[in-house]
Amino acid sequence: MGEMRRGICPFCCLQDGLRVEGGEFALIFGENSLLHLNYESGDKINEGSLCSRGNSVIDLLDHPQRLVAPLLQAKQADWKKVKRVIASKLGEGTYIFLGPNLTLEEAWLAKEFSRSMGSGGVVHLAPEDGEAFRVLRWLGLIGGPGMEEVEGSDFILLVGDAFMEHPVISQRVLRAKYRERKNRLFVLDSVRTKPTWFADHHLQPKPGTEGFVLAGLAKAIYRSKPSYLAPLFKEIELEGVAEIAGLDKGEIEEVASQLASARQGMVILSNLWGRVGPVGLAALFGSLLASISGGRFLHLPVYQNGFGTWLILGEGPSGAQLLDELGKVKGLFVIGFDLFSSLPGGTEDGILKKLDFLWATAVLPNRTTERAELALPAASGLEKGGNLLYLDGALRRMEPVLPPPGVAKAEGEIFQDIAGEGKLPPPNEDKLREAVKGEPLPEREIVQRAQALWEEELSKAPQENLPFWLIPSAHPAHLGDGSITGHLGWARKICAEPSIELSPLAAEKLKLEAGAKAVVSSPAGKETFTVTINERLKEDQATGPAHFPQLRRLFPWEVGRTLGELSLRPQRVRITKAKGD
Amino acid sequence: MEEKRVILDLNYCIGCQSCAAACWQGHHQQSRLSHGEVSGLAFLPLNCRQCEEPACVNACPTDALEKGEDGIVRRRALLCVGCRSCVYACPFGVMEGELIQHLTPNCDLCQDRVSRGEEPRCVATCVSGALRFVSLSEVYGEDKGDLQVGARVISRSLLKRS
Repeated sequence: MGEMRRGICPFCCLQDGLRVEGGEFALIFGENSLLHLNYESGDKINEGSLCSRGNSVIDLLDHPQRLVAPLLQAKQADWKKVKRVIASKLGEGTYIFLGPNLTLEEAWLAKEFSRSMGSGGVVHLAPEDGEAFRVLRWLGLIGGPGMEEVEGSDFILLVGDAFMEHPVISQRVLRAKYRERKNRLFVLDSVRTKPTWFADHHLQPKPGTEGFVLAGLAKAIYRSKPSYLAPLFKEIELEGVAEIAGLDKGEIEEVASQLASARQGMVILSNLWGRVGPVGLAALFGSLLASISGGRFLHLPVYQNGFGTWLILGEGPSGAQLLDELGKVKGLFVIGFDLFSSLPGGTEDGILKKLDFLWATAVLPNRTTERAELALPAASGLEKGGNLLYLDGALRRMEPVLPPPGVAKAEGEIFQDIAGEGKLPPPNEDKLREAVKGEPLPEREIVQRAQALWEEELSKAPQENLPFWLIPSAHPAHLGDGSITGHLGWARKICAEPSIELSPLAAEKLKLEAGAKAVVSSPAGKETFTVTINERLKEDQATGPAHFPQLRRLFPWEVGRTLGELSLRPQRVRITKAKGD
Repeated sequence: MEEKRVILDLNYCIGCQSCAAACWQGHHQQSRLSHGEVSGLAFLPLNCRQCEEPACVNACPTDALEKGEDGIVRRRALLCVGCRSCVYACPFGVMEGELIQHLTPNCDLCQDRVSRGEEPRCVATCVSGALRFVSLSEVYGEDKGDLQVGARVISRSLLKRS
């Protein structure tokens, strides 16, 4: 047996423990060592289990396409030259754009780096979760329940498709359901998904109205406490919510009363690319619903340390707001994510036209590094150490399994190197703990902001009446925008190309068979997809994995007025047979 | 050591294919674990049953497959010619015809892991706890609820799902 090292899966917020082992004939970890993945059965979070993308994580370590040296205008360069280029251009009007897979230390160093280099500032873009992060920060809800609490629940309301987005959570949820016969699992989702198969009841509202339903559920059980919320709930009418969501008022009241009578209720929210509608609204009323009913609220962000990174940066302008005001931005330094695969509405060319320069760090080449003047090789999640914020609000220490390949470096190290030796000391854990600590806003301010958000979402104009709803779906082999997992073998094997799922009836009416090509058009764009048939869909529903830029481009660019983050929701689209198919 | 088999508890399987991914990653990118769709609703792993009288072994023209004393069907790589006779012979359709080099896929319950006291990859990675590695006496003993052994559903009671 070779050596064994413990790591943390970088592919979602559950931060599952895993082991990487040297091959049987390898004496040490090193260039000639055959590495394989093993399961950390003693880990308190996942008890050894890993989802299909977690099983692929080892591919990152020796991936043939890894960026292993800096590229300056697509030619290999050394770090000294890179430092000179960055130091000469980084200044006023240039911004650092942080990805969600950084450690807390790296987010901290990014802020210090920006300050020391005199850049315009640091922003963070989390298309799926930014709105929810802002709302949870208002409420001071930094830490949610841990895995034991999920398992100990007697009533769970799953909002969205947590089983496909974060498959490892299913163990705890199903154990809770089957622990006692009286325990209940309810699902709130516009689509019949895998969790609905296990559910005791499926609340199936119109696409994108899950946040309104949560508001209705909270309204149904709100009596008078806490009293500061009275002005907010005065504005919410149950009949109106039922109409928006296309549900029966009695059904909402019945579900709410069951949640209220639970010994330990739990609301779990997961959202991929606006699947559940405006996620800020869902997070606000999901958490209020849990608190009014005496239960707990668990938000499952898409990425490993998205909330932690966001909290370190504080409540400044969002990445979406910055991109809205590109006129004053000269250059962007994108850290550790694929900006262009992450954005809706074909915004890529518009952004590039307005920039003097674009730099990026990445583990694998992506649409952003391909267009960047400077592409810097970064360490993968298994190749760097640091602290992460876990779902329960505690810090979780991660140790590197291996050093990064070639001259690749962890992003924190890149900041320190460019700034100069000793200029950016890393923060200690106390400083990090202080930075991610959350105090709620004054109650009056919470209510004012919540009212503004409610009014904004209520006032959103109905979408053009196209025949289909396009509802993003999750595929367990992919993560987020798919820019990393799209390079990994298993995801390429089972979910390689963008597809659109239609109900058998819709497919028949459109004369489309499984495997045919369909053109999907929305006011934001037009793309071609391969058709698959999904018997669980309603006739006017179409779903497709949100991990492909082709699907993301069909969604319009919209920044919410109250929250200032990217606002996403299911879209109305037209579907036709592709010409020549 | 008592013989063990992989069983599937239908009450827990969410159809995420983590088991298939682990199998594929652990066996040089060859799938030894297929999946079957049920009425467009469920997507269940079809583990090899390690049959008592395996048709795949009988069908193999080169004697590459053999059933060991421990009940596990193993394939000898140097004898396999990739003719897929075993794939066609399998009455449960759990063998896939995808060849890696000249080899047909064959589940040996991850003997490399089991010999070290670990569970097969599909069981160790299962995110919902649906797959378990249990002794034969547990499989065929008292009623354990809704179990699937390989491709066969043992249904002694109605599904608990509503």
